[in-house]
Formats: sequence, C-alpha cells, structure tokens
Amino acid sequence: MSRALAVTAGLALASAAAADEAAVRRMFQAKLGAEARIESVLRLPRSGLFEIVVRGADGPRVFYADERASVIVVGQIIDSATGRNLTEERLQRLNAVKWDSLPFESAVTTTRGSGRRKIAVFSDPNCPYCKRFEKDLATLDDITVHIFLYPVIKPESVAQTKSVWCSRDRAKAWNDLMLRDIEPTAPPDCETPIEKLVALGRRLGANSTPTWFLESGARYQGAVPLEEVRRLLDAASSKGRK
Amino acid sequence: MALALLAAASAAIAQGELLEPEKAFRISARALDGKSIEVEFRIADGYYLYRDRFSFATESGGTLAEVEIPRGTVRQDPFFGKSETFRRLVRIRVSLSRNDAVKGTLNIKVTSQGCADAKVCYAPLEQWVKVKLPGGKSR
Repeated sequence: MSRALAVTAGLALASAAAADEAAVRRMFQAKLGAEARIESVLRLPRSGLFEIVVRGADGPRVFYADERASVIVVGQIIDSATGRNLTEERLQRLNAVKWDSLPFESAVTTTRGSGRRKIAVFSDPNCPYCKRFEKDLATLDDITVHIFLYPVIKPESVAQTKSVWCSRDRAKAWNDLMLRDIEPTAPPDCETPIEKLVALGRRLGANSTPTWFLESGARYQGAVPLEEVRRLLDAASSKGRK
Repeated sequence: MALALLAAASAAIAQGELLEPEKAFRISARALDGKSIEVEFRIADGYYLYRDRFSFATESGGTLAEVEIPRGTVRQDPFFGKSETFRRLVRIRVSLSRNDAVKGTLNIKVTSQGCADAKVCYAPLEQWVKVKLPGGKSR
C-alpha cells in the first residue's frame, strides 16, 4: 500500500516536471519566435533551472531559464562540487557526429605506425592555425589523420585543394603544402568531392578551421596544444575500441 | 571554496568555447551624412580581422567601390606571411552612389574575415547592416 502510494507520488512528480518542461518550451518559443527550432527542454536537477537547446543553422546553442522564462541565461554552468563545466560537456555531446558516417573515401588520409588513434580534420590551406595544428599532428606516431579538404578561408584555396585531390599521391601533395609550404602542381581539373565536403562541413556547423572530430564523435575547434590533443586522442581511441 | 569556483570558471572560459563569429566581430553602422556611412567592428579580445578581406555590397548586389579602410597593423605571420590586421576596433567609411543615397534607408551586406589568436580562422562572415540616411541632404 505505502509502496503503491510512493510510486504514484513519483509518477505525479515526474509528470509535473514534464508539464513544467512543456510550459517552459511554450514560453521560450514565444520569446524566440515561431521559426526557432527548440530541440529539447530539460529540468536541471538541483538548480531550479531549465536547459533549452535551440538548433540553429550554425549548430546547437544552449540556454538556461527559470520556470517562467522570466530570466534567460546565456552562459556556462559550472558544477560547484566538481568544477566540471556542464555547458561545455553538453555542447560537446550535442555537436558530436557518428564517426562511421563521415565520408572517409573523400578524405586525404595519412597513416603512421599502427594508425591506432584516429582524427578527422576539416582543413584549409590558407588557415595558419591549420598548418600549425597539422605540423603538431605530424609529430605523433600510431595515428591516422583523415583530412577533409575544406576550402572556405580564401578563394584561392579552392584551386589549391583541387590540385591536391588531382595529384597522383594526394597525401604527399597535401602534406607538402601544409608542412613544407610546397604548392601542389597537378592541374585542378579532375573530378573532386570538394563541393560535397564544403556542404558537409557547413551542415556540421564548421564555420571555422581547423574543425576536427575524434573517434568518439566529439567535435573540437582550433589548434589545441599538442599535449591536450594527445590526451584527447588517447581517451577517444580507447573508448572507440572495445 | 569561492576561490576554487572562480578558478574553475575562469579556466573554463580560458580554454573554453570559441566565440561565434558574429560575437567576435560585432558590427554596427551609422550615417555620417547624406552620402556616406561608417561601418564599425568591435573586435573581441584575442581576435583579429584581415584588412584585405572586407567587401561591401548593396541589396541590389552592387558593390560599393569607394571604401576607406584605415591602415592596419602589419603582422608577420610565420605561416601566413605578411598581412595587415585590425584588433579591438576598426571604422570604415563607405561612400554611397547617388542612387543609393536617395533611398532613405539602406541595407548593406558587409563581408569580413578574421581569426582567433592561436586557434582558428573563420570562413568569411556576411552580415547585413541597416542605415537610416538623414533626409533632404541627398542632393
């Protein structure tokens, strides 16, 4: 009897929370306008806040609001007990891709050693930080580097990346360009996947380069310091394996 | 406790999220007189814009040729070679054609491109600004 009561009470609580989430969603939608795509509304435990995920053209955004949506927080939430940045972790998951869904047949791939650790990079030859990042990656062993040619930074990047794709040895042509500043020489007139890659990158919200993904599906931006990259690669590849 | 929390929060910001380009490069515009406007970019700390990557166009697709971009800081980039860049603030004066100047209100498409220090370069960013021109001065 008392058990049945407890279950009922639990259900009542759960449906109250769901009702609150629906209410927050309605209020938030009204504030954002009808065309905004609200992906989810979740009550955060302990904080009295709701998390609202909005999916825009350039990827997901996370907001927080009280139960009346009378204040909206645009910022990051830190768990004060553990110091973890909950917002960043959430965005990381929201931005994740399915690794196996990436079109590796359209990548320029370099493998060193066992190739155990895997990374996929959207890269432009006229992005200085892409060059720095790839120079760092070139020092790592046991790695597979998939480059998705992503000529979005300068107009001349298009011809350069096409020439790389049309080279007999694509990996050599690309690495010569990025690591040694040797321009590719093949005429850029073969069939290439580059337009498709640019469309894919835009769909994934890669509005800057380098944007990169690990086997876990997690997405990162920028020339992150080598030590950090090494740590992330090891963590993602041990998780991805199993 | 409070200190640890502050440290965690600032560490999160330090390594954390890159700004969306619209936030890194905040644009605004105003009319200077009946036939010229000023476009202003407020550039977040740690971000910069390239001088040779600006372009301006009207709604009808016409380019605005008379653009006065101040000199930037010449930067010798180990990877990118020599380039002229702006930090913090740049104001660009754009002269309007007679046709555009009589319109009263003008929508202008501004394309810019920049990078975040030691992190990423952004794809060219297109932003629209709306400027009200003072009436009556259009001749």
